[in-house]
Amino acid sequence: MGIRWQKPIFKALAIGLFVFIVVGPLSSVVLWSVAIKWYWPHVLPQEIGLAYWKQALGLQRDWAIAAVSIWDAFKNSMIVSIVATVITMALAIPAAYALAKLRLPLKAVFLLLFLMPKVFPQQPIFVNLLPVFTRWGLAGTLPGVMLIHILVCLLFGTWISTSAFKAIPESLEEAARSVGATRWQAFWRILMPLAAPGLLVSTVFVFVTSLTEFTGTFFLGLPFVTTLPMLLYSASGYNMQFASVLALVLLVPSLLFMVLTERIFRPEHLGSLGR
Amino acid sequence: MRSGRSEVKRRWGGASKLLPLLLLFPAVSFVLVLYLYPLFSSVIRSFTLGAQSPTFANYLKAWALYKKDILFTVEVALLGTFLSIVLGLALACYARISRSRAARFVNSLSRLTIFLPYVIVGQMMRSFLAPHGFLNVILANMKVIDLNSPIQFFNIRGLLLGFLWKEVPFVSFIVLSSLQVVDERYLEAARSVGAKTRHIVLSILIPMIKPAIIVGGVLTFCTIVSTFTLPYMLVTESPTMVTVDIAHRVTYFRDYGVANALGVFLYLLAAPMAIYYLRRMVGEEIYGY
Amino acid sequence: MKRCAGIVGLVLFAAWVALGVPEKVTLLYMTAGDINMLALAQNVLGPMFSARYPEVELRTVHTGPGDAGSQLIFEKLRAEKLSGKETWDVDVAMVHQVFMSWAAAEGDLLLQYAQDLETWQYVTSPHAKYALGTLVEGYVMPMFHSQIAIAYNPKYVPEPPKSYEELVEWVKAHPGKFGYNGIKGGMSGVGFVVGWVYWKTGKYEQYAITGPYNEQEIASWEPIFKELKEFNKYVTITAGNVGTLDALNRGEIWMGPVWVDMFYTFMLTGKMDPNIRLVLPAPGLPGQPMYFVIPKKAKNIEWAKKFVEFVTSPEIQAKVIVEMYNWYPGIDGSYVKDYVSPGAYARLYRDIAPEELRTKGLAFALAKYHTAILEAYEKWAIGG
Repeated sequence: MGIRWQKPIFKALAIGLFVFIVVGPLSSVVLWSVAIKWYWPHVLPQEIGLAYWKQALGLQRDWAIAAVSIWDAFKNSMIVSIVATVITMALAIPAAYALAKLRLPLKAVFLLLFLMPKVFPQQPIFVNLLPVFTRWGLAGTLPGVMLIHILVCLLFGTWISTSAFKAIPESLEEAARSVGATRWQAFWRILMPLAAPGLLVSTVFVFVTSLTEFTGTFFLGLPFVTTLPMLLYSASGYNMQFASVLALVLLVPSLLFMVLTERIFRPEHLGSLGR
Repeated sequence: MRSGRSEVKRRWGGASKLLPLLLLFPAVSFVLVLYLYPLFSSVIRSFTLGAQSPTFANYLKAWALYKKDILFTVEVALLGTFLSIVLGLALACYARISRSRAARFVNSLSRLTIFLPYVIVGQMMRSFLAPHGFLNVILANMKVIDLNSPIQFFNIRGLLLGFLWKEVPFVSFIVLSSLQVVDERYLEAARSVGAKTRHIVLSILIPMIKPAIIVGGVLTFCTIVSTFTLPYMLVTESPTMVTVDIAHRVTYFRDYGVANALGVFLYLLAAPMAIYYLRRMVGEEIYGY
Repeated sequence: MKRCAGIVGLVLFAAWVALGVPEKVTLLYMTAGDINMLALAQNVLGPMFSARYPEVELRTVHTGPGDAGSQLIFEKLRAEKLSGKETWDVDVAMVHQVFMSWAAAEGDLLLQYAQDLETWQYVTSPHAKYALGTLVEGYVMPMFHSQIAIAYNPKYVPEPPKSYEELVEWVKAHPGKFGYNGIKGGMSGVGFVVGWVYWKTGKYEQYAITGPYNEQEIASWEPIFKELKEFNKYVTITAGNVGTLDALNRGEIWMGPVWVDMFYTFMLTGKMDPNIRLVLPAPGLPGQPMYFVIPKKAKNIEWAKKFVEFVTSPEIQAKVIVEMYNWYPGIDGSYVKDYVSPGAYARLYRDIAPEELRTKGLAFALAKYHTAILEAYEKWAIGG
C-alpha cells in the first residue's frame, strides 16, 4: 500500500529536481542582469535596476556602466545567419536528395565528410585557415564568417534533410513517375511539399547553429565582425551584468526553437538520422 | 518491398550516374576546400614548426607539459558521453512511454538548453556553481552543507554538470525522434504479454534505436573534446582540458607547433569515434535493407 | 533671374555635398582589453574627441581580452604589411606590452611618433622606454598604467601582509582564503608568480631590466617552483583575472592579487564591497601600461597623433583616467594633479602611495625570462 502514495511524491520530486537543474543556472543569470549592487554577504542583490538592459538596447550611454549597445552585433548576427542558412540549405538539399533517394556508392563516407567539421576539434583548423583567409582577403569580413558558418552548419543541413527525404515512401514518387511526371516535376510536386516540414526543422537547426557559432567567428571574424556570441565573450571578462543581459538575449532563439519544434516537428524528420 | 525499392533505384539511379555526384559536388567541394586543407596543414605544421626538418619535438613537448591534461580530457569526454547517453536515453524513454502532461512538460523544457552556446553555459555555471554561488547557498539554507566548506565545482564536477546540462537534452532529442518512429503496436504487444517497463526499454526500444544512440554519442563525445569556452571559464588550472592549453600556447607563446601537436592529439581522440561510426554505417549499407 | 539663382544654389549645394561632407574623417581605433575598453572608447573618448574636433569620428574595433586581444591586432597589422598596400586600415591601436616584442621581431609595423606629440614632455615612466626588454622609445605612448596589487578584506585580514614572507605565513594559517588564478587565466596570476620569482631569487634587476638572458638560471628555479607548488596547496585557484575578483565579490576568499584598474571598475559597478582595500607587499608586484601605437602606414597619421595627444593630455588623463575610472595615469602623476579633484587624487593613492608605487611597482620579466617562468610553472608547479 505504501508504494502507491510514495510513487507520485517521488515523481513530483524528480520533476522538481529536473526543473531546478534546468532553470537554476538560468535564474542566477536573470538576477545578475538586473543587479546594480551585489556583493557578499548579501545572498540577493542589494540594489536592482534595468541600467544594463537600457545600455545594451542602446537606450542610454552611461560611461560608468561598462556596456555597449548590442544593435551592431545583432545586425551582424542576423545578416550572417540568414545568408549562411540560405546558402547552407541550397547546398544541402540537393546533396540530401542524392544521399536519400539516388544510388550512390560510399554514402557513409559522404555523410561522415559533413560530420567532420563538427567532430574534429575546430580550434586548430581555424588557426590554420586564418592565413589562407587573409591571403584571399576574407579574414575579418562578413563573407568570410558566412563561409565558416556554412561549413559548420552543413552537418545539420545535410543530415536532417537526408533523414527528411528518407521518410517519404518511395511508392509516392514511383506513382508520380508512372503517370508520366519527370524527375524534376516529381521532386517539386511530390517530394518537396512532403519533405517541407522536415526541411524546415533542418533550416531551424542550421539557423540557430549559425546564430550561436563561436569558435570560427572568433578566429576568422574578429576583430571586424562582432556577432552576439563574440560580444558575450568580450563581456564575459569582468562584466557579469552585461554578459548576463547578452546571455538572456541569446536565449531568445532557443525559446523560439522550443516553440517551433513543438509546432512543426514530427519524429520522422530525425527518425533515420545517421543512417 | 525489397524488390520494389531496387526497381526504383534502377530506374532512377540508372538514368544518370552523374546526377548524384553533380548534386553532391557543391557541398562536398565546400568541405574539401575549407576543411580538409586546413586539417592537413595543421597536421603538417605540428611536425615542422619551430624546427628546420620534420621532428617530433612538438609532440614530445606537448606530452611532457600536458600529459595530465590529455588524460583528463579523455576522462571528462568518456564520462560525459556515457552519462549523457544514459540520462538522455532515460529522459527520452520517459517521454516516449509516459503520455502524461508532466512528461510533455519535461520534454519541452529540456529543449531550452540545446542551442545555448557554451559561452553562455560557462557564464551561467560560473555564478551558479561557485563556492558561494546559487547552488551552494541554497544547499546551505537547506542545511545540507556548511557554507564554510562548500562543494567545489570548479573541477571535473562542474565541467560534467555544464556539459550534461546541454548534451543530455541533445541526446534525448535525437533519440526521441527515433523512438517516436517505433511502432506503438510493438509496445502494446509487449505490454499485453506482461512485459515490465524496464524490459520494454532494454530489450525492445534500445536495440531498435541503436543508430540514433551512436550518432548522439559521437556528437557528444566530439563536442566535449573540442569545447574551449566552458573549461576556460570554469577551470584554468591543472588539470584542465586540452583546448585551454592550445589557447594558452597560442596566446602566451605564439607557439603554433605545440598547439598543432595538441590539436592532433584531439583528432586522435575523435578518430576512433568517426571510424566506428563509418564502419557501422558502411556495414549497414552492405548487409542492411 | 530667380531660376539662375536657383541653379547657382543647387550647384553650390552639390559642391558642398561633394566636397564638404566627405571631409569627415573616420579614425579607425583598435583596442585590446575587456569590454570596458570598448565602452570607454565608444561612450567616452569617441564623443569627447568628436566634440573637440567635429570633423573626426572615432570608429572603435574591439579585439578582446588579454594578450589574445593584442595578438589579433598584431596579426591584422602583419597581414596589412604583407599585403603591400600603400595605406593601412588601422589608424591607431591600444596594445599590451607583449605586443611590442612581437612587433619588434616582425619589424616595419609601427611609426615612431611619440616625440612629435605635445604631451611627450609629460611622460616619465620607464615603461615608455623599454617594454619587457624591448626598446620602444618613441613608438609608444602609455594610456594608463595598470598595477597588480593584493586586494584584501579588512574584516577578516586586519593586518595585511607587508611582504611575500608575511603573505605565505598568513596563507598557511588560513587555507583556502587566498586565491589567485594560476598562469592560464590572465596576467594577475602570472604577475603573482613573477613576483614570487623576484622574491625568491632577488634578481629583479637582471630578470626584468638589465639582462642578460642566461639559460643556466632556469634550472636553478626548480626548488622555487616546488615551494610554490607546496604553497598552492593552501590556495584557492580561481578561473581567470575575473575569477579572483568574483571570488572576492562572493566572499569566498579574503585576499588575492588583482589588477588595480579592474578592481576599481568592479567597485564602480557595485560588485565589490567598498571596504575592501589594496596592499603592495615587498619586494613588489609587476604592473604594465597600456600603450597607444600608430601603424607605419596608417591612413590618417595626423589625426591619429591628435587623438593620442588628446587622450594623454593632463586634462583628459585627470578627468577620465583618474576621476572616472580610478586608474593610474599614463603620464607623470604630478602633471595630472592640478586637474584632479583632491578627493579623487586621495582615493587613487589611498592604499598605495606614489613612492610605494615607484619602489614596489615592478616590471614584468624580459620576454625570454617571462616565457621561461611560465614554462617552469607548468613543469614544476603543476606537473612534476
